[in-house]
Amino acid sequence: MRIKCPLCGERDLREFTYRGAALPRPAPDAPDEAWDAYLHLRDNPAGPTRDLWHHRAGCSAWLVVRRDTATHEIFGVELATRSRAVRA
Amino acid sequence: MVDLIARLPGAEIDAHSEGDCVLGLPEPGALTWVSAEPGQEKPVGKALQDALGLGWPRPGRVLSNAQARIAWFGDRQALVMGPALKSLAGAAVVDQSDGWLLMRVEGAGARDMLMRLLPLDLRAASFGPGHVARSLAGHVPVIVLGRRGGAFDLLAPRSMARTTHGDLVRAMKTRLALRALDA
Amino acid sequence: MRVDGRGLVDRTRPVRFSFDGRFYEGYQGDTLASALLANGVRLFGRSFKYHRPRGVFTAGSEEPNALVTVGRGAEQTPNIRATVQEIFAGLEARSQNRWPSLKYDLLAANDVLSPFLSAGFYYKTFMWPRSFWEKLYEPLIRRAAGLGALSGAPDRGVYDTAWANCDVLVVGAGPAGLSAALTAARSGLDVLLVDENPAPGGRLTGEDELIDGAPATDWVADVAAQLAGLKNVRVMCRTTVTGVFDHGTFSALQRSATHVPDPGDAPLEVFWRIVAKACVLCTGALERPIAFPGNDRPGVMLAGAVRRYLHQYGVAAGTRVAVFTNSDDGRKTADDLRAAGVDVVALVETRAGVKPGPDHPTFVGSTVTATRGRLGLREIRVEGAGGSQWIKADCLAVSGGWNPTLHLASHTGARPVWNAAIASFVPSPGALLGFEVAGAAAGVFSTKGAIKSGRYRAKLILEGLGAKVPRQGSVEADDTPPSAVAFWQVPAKGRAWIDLQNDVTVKDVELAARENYASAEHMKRYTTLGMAPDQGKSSNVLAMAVLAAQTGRSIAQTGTTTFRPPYSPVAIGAMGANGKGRRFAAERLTPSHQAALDRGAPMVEVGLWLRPSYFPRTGETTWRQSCDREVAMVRKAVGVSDVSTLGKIEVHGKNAAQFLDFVYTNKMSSLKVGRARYGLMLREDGFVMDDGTCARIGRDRYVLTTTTAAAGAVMAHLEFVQQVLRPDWDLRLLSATDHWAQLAVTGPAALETVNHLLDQPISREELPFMGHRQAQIGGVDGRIFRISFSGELGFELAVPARFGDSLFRLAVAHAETLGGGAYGMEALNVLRLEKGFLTHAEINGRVTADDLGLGRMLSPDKDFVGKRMATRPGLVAARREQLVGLRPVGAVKALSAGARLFEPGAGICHENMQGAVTSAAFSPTLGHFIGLALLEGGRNRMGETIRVLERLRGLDTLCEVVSPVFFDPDGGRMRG
Repeated sequence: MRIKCPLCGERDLREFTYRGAALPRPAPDAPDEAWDAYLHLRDNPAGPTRDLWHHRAGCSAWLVVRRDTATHEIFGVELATRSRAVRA
Repeated sequence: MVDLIARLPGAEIDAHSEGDCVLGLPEPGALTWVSAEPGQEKPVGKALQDALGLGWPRPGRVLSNAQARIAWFGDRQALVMGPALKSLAGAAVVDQSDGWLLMRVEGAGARDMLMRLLPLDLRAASFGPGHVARSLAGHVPVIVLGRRGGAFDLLAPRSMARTTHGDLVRAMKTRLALRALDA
Repeated sequence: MRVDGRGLVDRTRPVRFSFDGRFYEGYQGDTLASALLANGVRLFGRSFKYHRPRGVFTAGSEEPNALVTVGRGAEQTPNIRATVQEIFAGLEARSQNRWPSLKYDLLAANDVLSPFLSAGFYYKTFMWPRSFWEKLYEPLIRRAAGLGALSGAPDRGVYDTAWANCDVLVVGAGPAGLSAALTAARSGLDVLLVDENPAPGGRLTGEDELIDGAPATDWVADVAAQLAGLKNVRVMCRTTVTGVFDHGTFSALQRSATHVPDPGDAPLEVFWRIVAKACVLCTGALERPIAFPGNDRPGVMLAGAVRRYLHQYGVAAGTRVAVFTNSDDGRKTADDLRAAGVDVVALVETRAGVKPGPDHPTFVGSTVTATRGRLGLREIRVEGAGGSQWIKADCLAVSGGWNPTLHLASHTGARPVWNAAIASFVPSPGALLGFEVAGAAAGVFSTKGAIKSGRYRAKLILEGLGAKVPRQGSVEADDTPPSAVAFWQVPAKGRAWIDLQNDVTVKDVELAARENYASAEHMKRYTTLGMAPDQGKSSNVLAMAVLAAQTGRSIAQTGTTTFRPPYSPVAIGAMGANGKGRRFAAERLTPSHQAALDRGAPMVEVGLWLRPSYFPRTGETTWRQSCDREVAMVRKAVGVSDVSTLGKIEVHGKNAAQFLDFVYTNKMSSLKVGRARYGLMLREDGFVMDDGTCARIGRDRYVLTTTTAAAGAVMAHLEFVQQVLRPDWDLRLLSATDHWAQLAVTGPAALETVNHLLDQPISREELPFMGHRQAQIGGVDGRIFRISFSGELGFELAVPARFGDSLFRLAVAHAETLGGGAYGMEALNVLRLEKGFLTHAEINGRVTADDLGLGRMLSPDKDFVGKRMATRPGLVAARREQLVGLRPVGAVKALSAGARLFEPGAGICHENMQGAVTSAAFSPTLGHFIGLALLEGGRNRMGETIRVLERLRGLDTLCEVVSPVFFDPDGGRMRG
C-alpha cells in the first residue's frame, strides 16, 4: 500500500501509522451517546471509508485518507489541519 | 570550573569505504530547528534571507549556499544546517546540533546502495541535489538530503546512529558481494 | 542420458555433487533435476500422503514432485525444487519423506491403505475418542504425511531485504517479456526486467525454434545484449516476483547465492520490495497434465519439460519415450526427440481425426489407460478403437494443453475469465490499473504472437505514462495457432492423480463434489488440492475441469480458487531478514553509554534503549549486592544516573499554555516561568496515557518530559491534538530527546556534586523543589531542574548530548569522593518503588487517575482530553482496582511482579482474583521486600492481609496492604 502525503508525495505504508475513522470530537457536554459513538462505534464498511493516518516516520503530518476498503483504491488524501471531516 | 570534553555522536563509529561507495562523517556545523508561526513562512523566509541569504524551503526541498543549507523538515518547519541561529522573528528556534549525526555517502555506488536500504524513490530523475526526504533507514527515522554528483547526506537521530551506520555498512558490503557474484 | 550436440549447458565445465550420499557429475548450467536425469536417476522422492515413488515432473518452478533437502545441519533447507536448484561443486542434496531409504520406504504401506485415506478421511476417521486426537492421531498423521523437515537448529544463512524503484516492471524474460522490456527501454523510461531463471529466454531456451531465420537463442542473446547496453534497464535473473500488492508494490525473491559453493559476504537470498509505475506481466504459461490411471510414476512427465531437458540441458528424459497428447504442441515433443535420435515408442493422440505422425508409431483417438513400474515407469497401456496394448516405455511425455500463468494478475483480487479458444483461464483484460498482460500469460502462445504481444502491451503502457513509443521492425517466427481440443481425464478405472504434490486424485475431487463440497474453494479445502508448496500450479485448471464435470457445470461457472501471494515459496528468513537478531529493532544508546561500559555495567534493554543495569564494584558477586549498595548510596550520600532516555518535547506558540491545559489533566497555564509541575495525560477514553513533568521555559515555551516507554506515543498524541483537534492554534512541537544529555544527581549530598559541576553554585533556596533555570557547566549552556525520582534531594542537569559522556564521568568521580557514585536501572527502580512513584508497570493502559490515587489531578475547571470519559460510571466504581503497597507478613519472602491477589482462605479461581502485583523489589532501606499492586477497593483496605500467589515462581505468601509510599511519606527529604 502506498499513500500520497500531500507534503511528501507518495510513500510506502511503513512510514504511516493508522489510527481509525476520521470523526469530529464531540463537545465536552455532548450526550453520552455522542461520546460513545466517537470512541467506540464503527461502521466497518466494505466500500468507501475515511480515516486518519499519521505520517509518523515522515513529516509527522496527520492525514485524512479517503479510500475503499474493498478495492483498496485511494480517492484522496488531505492534511488533517485542512480537513472538514474532523471538524464539528 | 570543570572541563567538559565534547564526544561527538559519531565517536564510536567510523568512516567506511567499500568499493565504489564511501561513507563519511563530515562535521555538519550547527543544526537549528526553525518553526514559523502560522502564516509567517514568508516573513520568516525574509528574515532567513537577510541572515543567511536563503529563504523558506518548499516541501521536500533544500536551499543551499556556500555557508548554509535550509532543509524542509515538516509543515512550517525547517532545519538550518551550518551557521548557528539564535532567534528569528515569528519563529521558534531551537538548537538541535546534538540531536542528529550526519553521515555522507558518495561514490558511483552510493545511490544504488542507498536505494536498497530506503523505501524511497532515490533515482536520479526523482531525487537529487536540492531534495530532502524524511523516511526510514531500516527501523530508524532519518533525513536524506541529495547532493551533487550522486552523493547523499543522511541525518540519523544521535541515539540510533550506530544502528544506521551498521545498516549502511552492511548495505555497502552486501551490494559489493552481490556484484562480485554477478561478475 | 546426455544427447550429443544438444543443450546449452557448458560441457567443458563438469560439476561434482551428491544426492542421497552418492556422487554424480553434471555440467555448469544444469539443475539438480537435469543432472540427475542425465545420470539415469528417475526416483526423486516419496509422495506426501501415500508415499508413492515420485520422479521429476516438470522443468521449472512449478515442480510438484522433485522436492529435496539441500545442505546439512543448520544450513540445510528442505523442500527445494530440484528443477530450480542449480548444481555447483559440492552441492549436497537428499530426498525427503522416506524411511529408512528412498527405495524402501516403510510408510509406503499408506499406499495399500489408500482406499481408507481418501479426501477428508481424517475428519471422519479420527473422531473418537476425542482425547486421542492431540496425543496420538495428529502426531501420527503429521509424521506419516509430510515434506522435508527443518534441522531444528537456528538458520545461520544470511538473507537480506532490499528496495527497488522503476517506471516499468516487466515480469518474465521470455519472448513477450524481452520484447516488452526492449520496447519500454527504448522510450527512455526506467525498466526493470525480472525473471526467475538463471538467464533470460523463457520458453525459447527450452525449444528448438527459429526467429528471423536464426536459432531463437540467438535472438534472446541479441535482445539481452541490447538491454545490457542501455543504462535505463536493469535485468534481474534468478528472481521470482512472488506477489502483487496495492498501488504498484511488488515482492520478489532473488536467489542471489544459492547457486554457488561459497557466497562470501553475499546473502543467500534477497527479498525485494519493488515499486513500479506500471507493469507488464509476461509470466508465460504452465503446461497441464491429463488425468489417467497411474499417471504419477517416475518417468511420467510434462511434454514441454521433456523438450526443455532435451534442448536446454541436452538430456533425454528416457531411452524409450512415449508421448500422450491432445495437441500439435504435444506432438512436437515426439518430433524433437526423434530428430535428436531418441527412440519414440508411441505417439498417443486423443484426437481422432488427425493424421498419424510420419515417423512415429501413432495411436490416434487413443488414450493411456494404465501404467506399470514400481520405482519408475516400465510400460503403458494404450487403448483406442483398435483395442488395447501394453507398450514398453521408461518415459511418458504428457501434454493436455497450456494454462496461462495468471497468479500475479489475480493477487489483488481480479478474477480470471474463461477463454474457450485455449480452453483455459486468462487474466481479465483491463482489471488492473497500470498493468498489461502479454504473451502466453494472456493466452497468446505462439512465438511470433508473444513477441508482438509484448511489444504492443508495452506500447500501451508507454502511452499511459506519456512516454514516446519507439518504432520497431517486423519479426519472423513460429505463428502456429493453438490446436488443443480440451481433454481432461481418461475415463478408466484406477487412481488418476490431479495434484501430485498433495496426493489428490480424480476420485477425491469427485467425492468432495458428492459430499457437497462443490464450490471451488470448498473442494480445495476438503481435498487439500493446490495447498502444497506448488500451490496447484499444474493441477488447478484440471481440477476445476473434473469438478465441473462432476457437478454438471461449465468450467467457466466453476471458476478458480483464489490466487494469493507468494507465487512460489519464500523463506521466512528472507522475508524477515531486516528483523532477525540485532536487526529486530534499532538500538538507542545514551550519551554516557561508553562511560557506563567502561565501569563494567551490564546493559539492559528498556524499550529500544540500552541502559546500565548496575555498576559492579570489586567484591560484589551478584546484581543484588550492587543494587543494594547503590540504593544505600543514594539514600545516604549521592548517586548519578543518566536519564537522557526520558522523552523531551518542546512546545512553542501563543497557544502553548492553552494546549497543555488541554492535554494534561491539571493546569499548566498557571505555571510560572522557571517552574515545573508533575502532569498526567489521559487518553480520550479516560484511562491514563502517561505521566511526566512540564517545565515552563518562557511565556510561550515549555519543555515536557515523558516516560522513556511512551515518548513516541506521547509525541504522536500531541501532534494529533495539535493538527486534528486544535488546528487553528499557534503551536509548534519538537521532539528534542536526542539533543540532550540529562543526568539525575540525587541524594543528601547532591547539592555538593551539582555545585562542583556548575560554573555558578546555587543554594536550595535559589532553586526550590520543582524549580529550574539556565545553567553553565564548564562554560557550556545547559539547564538545571530540581526534580526527584528517588525521593531524595534531586537535580537533573541537561547539556547538549556531546558533553554527556564527560559530564557523567565528572559527576560520578565527584560523587565517589562523597561516598556515592553511579547507579543503574535496578537501583533506580528500587528507589522509586520505595517512594511509590509510578512507571508503565502501573500505568498499564487500563488504570484511571483515581485508581492511582491521583483523582485530585483531574481539574474541574477546564476541558481536557479524556475528561468526559473519565467520569463514566465504570471508571469511578468503588470496586475498581486501586494502587496500594504490599509488605510481607512474617518472614521476608520474595515478591514478584505479576503475582495475583486473593483473600486468604478464598478459593483460587478467576472469580476470586482481586488484583495483581505490578512491581516488586527488595528494599535495602527497609530491610524487606516491598511491592506495588492494584487491588480491588484497595485504598479502603489498609492493614488487611492478602494472599499473594504466583505459581510459575512458586510464590505463595501473605502480605499486609499498606500505603504505596513506603519511605519518607511527607516528602521532606526531596522538598527540603
